[in-house]
Amino acid sequence: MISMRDFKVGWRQLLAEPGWSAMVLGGLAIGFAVCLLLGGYVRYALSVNHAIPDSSHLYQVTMRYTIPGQSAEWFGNAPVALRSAAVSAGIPAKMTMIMPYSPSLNAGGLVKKVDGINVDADFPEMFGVSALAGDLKQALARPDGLAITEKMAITLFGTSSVLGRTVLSGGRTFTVRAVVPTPSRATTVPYDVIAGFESPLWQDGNKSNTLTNWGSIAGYLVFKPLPGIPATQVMDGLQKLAANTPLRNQLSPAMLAELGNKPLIMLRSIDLASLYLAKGVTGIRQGSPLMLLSLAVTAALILLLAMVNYINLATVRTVRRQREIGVRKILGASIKRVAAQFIAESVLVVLMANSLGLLLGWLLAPAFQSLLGVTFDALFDVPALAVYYAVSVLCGVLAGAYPAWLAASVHADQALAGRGDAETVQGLWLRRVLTIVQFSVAMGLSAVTLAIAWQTGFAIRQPSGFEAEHVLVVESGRAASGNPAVMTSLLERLKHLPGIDSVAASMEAVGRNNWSSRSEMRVGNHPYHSMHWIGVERDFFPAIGVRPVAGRVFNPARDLDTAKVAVINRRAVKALGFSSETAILGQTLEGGGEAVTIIGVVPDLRHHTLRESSKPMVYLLADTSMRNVINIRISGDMATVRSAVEQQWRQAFPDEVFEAKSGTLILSDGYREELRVFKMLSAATVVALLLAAFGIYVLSAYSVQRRAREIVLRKLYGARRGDIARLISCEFVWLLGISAVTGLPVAMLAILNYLSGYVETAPIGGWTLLAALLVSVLVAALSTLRHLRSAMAMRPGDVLRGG
Amino acid sequence: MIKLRNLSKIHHTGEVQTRALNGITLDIDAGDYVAVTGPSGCGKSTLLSMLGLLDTPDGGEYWFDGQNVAGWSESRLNALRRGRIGYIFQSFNLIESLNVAENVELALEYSAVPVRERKARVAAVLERLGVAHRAGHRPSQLSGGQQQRVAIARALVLTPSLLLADEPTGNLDTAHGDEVMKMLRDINGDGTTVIMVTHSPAHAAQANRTIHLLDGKVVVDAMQLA
Repeated sequence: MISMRDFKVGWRQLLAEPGWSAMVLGGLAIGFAVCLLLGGYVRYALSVNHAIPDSSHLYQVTMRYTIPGQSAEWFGNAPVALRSAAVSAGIPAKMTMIMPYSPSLNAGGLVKKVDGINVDADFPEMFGVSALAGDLKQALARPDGLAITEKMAITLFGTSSVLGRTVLSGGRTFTVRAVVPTPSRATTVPYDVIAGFESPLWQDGNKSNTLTNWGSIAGYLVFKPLPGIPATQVMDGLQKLAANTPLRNQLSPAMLAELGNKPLIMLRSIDLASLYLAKGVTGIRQGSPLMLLSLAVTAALILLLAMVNYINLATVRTVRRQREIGVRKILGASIKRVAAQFIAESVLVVLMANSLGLLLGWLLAPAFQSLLGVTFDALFDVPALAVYYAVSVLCGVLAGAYPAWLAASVHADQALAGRGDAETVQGLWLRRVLTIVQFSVAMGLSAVTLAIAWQTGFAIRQPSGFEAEHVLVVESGRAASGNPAVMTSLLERLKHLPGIDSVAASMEAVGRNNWSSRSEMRVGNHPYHSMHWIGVERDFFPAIGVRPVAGRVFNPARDLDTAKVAVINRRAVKALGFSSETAILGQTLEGGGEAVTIIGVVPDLRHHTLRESSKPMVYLLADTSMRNVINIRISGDMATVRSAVEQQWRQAFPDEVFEAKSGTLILSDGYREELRVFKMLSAATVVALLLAAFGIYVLSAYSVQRRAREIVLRKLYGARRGDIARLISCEFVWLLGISAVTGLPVAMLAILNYLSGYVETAPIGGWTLLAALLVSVLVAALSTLRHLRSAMAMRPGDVLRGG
Repeated sequence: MIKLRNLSKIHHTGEVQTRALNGITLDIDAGDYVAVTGPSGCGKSTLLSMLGLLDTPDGGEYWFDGQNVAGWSESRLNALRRGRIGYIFQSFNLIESLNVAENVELALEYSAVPVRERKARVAAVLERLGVAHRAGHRPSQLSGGQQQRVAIARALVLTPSLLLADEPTGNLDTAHGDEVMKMLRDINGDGTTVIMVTHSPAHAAQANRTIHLLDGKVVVDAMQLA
């Protein structure tokens, strides 16, 4: 039915009106590009771990504590000790423990931080990993051996033939004994290097503790039931082992009474194929189902807006072409033939637009992946492109259906007599409704985006309790545990650098809580309370610019490294049952079999984001195993000092990557997800506003054209330019009004839902809704300005003569 | 060839009804050259639409080549008129996105003429109308007279038995108008029935029969003396 000539005519139509063509192709291309990228993420999220053989029958054990007063979050990690216990108990499953970490490797001077895993001997078989070259078994068995992925081999050595080559890490030499295939990027267990449990590549000062302590949950436990054994049977066995955990013996009698017969550790299993999108598991690489749904809905909305835009533009053009359609009809074109021609033109436009969209998607893909923090394996492979083209052609046919129907409905005699009005009143209303949809979405997105921006800015600007802008935080965990003496020496040298006031290591930086430790503590006969604690060096508070509100902070002149003293925050004072900050000074704090004296109270520092309220916090003096970060208080120029610190670091740890951030950046990192969503929504909002602008631009063009005779007649009877402006604007004012009524309440609900995740919120109220409305009004005003001016300048003589 | 019996057509504009044709009864034989005249709004164009099977009557009978087509669906009318009726308009109605040859070929495309025949027929008719040298040009690149020649070429390329012309000289100067009138006479001379709507008494006088309409009725139906 469709002939090549139809495409030829369509091509000429595009060439004849470059402005129109740019709007149509641009709008659709943006829509397709957005869909391509978001579709790529959806595909990624749904395919995580699917490259692992039989991933739906491999189960990762997740766990949570049932300690009264502690949060009931599920961890993706499990105690390493659980695996040993399971093997000893003869649980009918293959099991592997995976310890993820991030070592730095030095390959001939090229120092790079990589994803590493320490695994046991069962890992290769269970995860389907075999050596491309070398002996994987040897690589895992020998302490000085490691296996490296093909990609990382090329990154570090420039070739994949690297057997026998060596790398330095933590001052030790490791030999590449196997090269393994690069795993899919869509995985919850990413790795560049693999080593055995005995390998010193895994540097942990408390390694033996990690391997045996049931309270240390650092690794992923994955099992595969033996043939004929259901996963539930394996989990029952593991749960019984967990119920008898020695950790129970560390609980106070009061807590044991409260716990009753409940197991202290609850376990559940999630198959690897479902793990990425499983709800509420922390400590593993996970995608958010809500984010996935939001992105899918955004993609659908953008595509819908692009199609609406095309329908609007194509309809106006069809109305303008009714004389041509009339001619075709009187020359014998059937209704089907006319419709087929318009469908063909639509398909041509869509094919061109999706090729442009493909190019746009390719250009934007790196930025998009960086924004999401994921890397797609294949965004432009054959299946993806097949789906992309199929969907876009379908969209073309659907979007072309209305203009085609409109063309088929043209009455040839009326069209040729110049009396035809090809678009019915219902058709015009349909397009108005479509424009309302465009502006509703644009307004809603604008309002939500502004609210997220406002709240995130508000959260970042909230007082943190310390002098974040003068603090440089250096990541030192691996280096410190690998060589404590060198670390101590480095800390001393740093103290004497110009521009540095104070230096102190701590378990974690203020502003984030990756290393969260909690214990049950009490003072005197007050009840036990779950308290967060953090190990710090004696100069910690001066190093972050914090003064006590009562008592004193640690003092190197008065307190030994091993002093049994503690500083607490204000919230801890209340949690421990005291109303006065001075009254708690000198009291003994008990917990975990230890007792320390409270010597001071500090303000509530912001260890967590605004999504959580401040926690009762205890600051204890750290031993050398707790030096995960170095806090440096700077009085000089941040960049200069950073450079000097880096120089010292490279001398001390030539095999370790230097990573440092300002305290301000650490704080804003807590809102990385918000910033990411904000960036994505901003892009979606710009696209939505652009498409809405196209839509109302076309509607105004058509409106002015349709009402030309009315306009000039009004002028003949004395209407001034202002009267004409009001006449034309009136139509768009109520369109915007309806858009606001439909779009903004939905946005308000979304904003309220978003803000409910924070303990403190910015005074947003209805301001972002108002701002979104104003932005939309501005966009509409600019989009209709041209046709408004042409209406005001219309000359009656021209119009009445048909000119 | 054409028989109209008590034919009527009512136009509806909102709640207002206008009787455009009011009980027209008329016979037109093959080979006739008929001029339809009358003041504006008398129903000339509506009558031409009816005769050209572009619209359907609200009452009466319309016999075309022995078939009463009143009440036929658009698709049946479309099939019937394809290749049998040619049209010429005051405003030419050429499609700007097609060149001259393609405009003429359009009529063949919809009439299942084999592709290999099309080029030859188009070339022949353009040659006959004296616009072959403009075959590759777009309509906007031609003068008014040339555009009307192309429109006539398009109407004739399928050698229709009936040619309908609605004010064919309305947009032309006198010289080009006379040229077109001569062509219509020649076409009629070749045996094609021609029905032409015109305001010009001089052009109407060139037909061999004049029908004068007033308020949707035939008030004069006169044969011209040779």
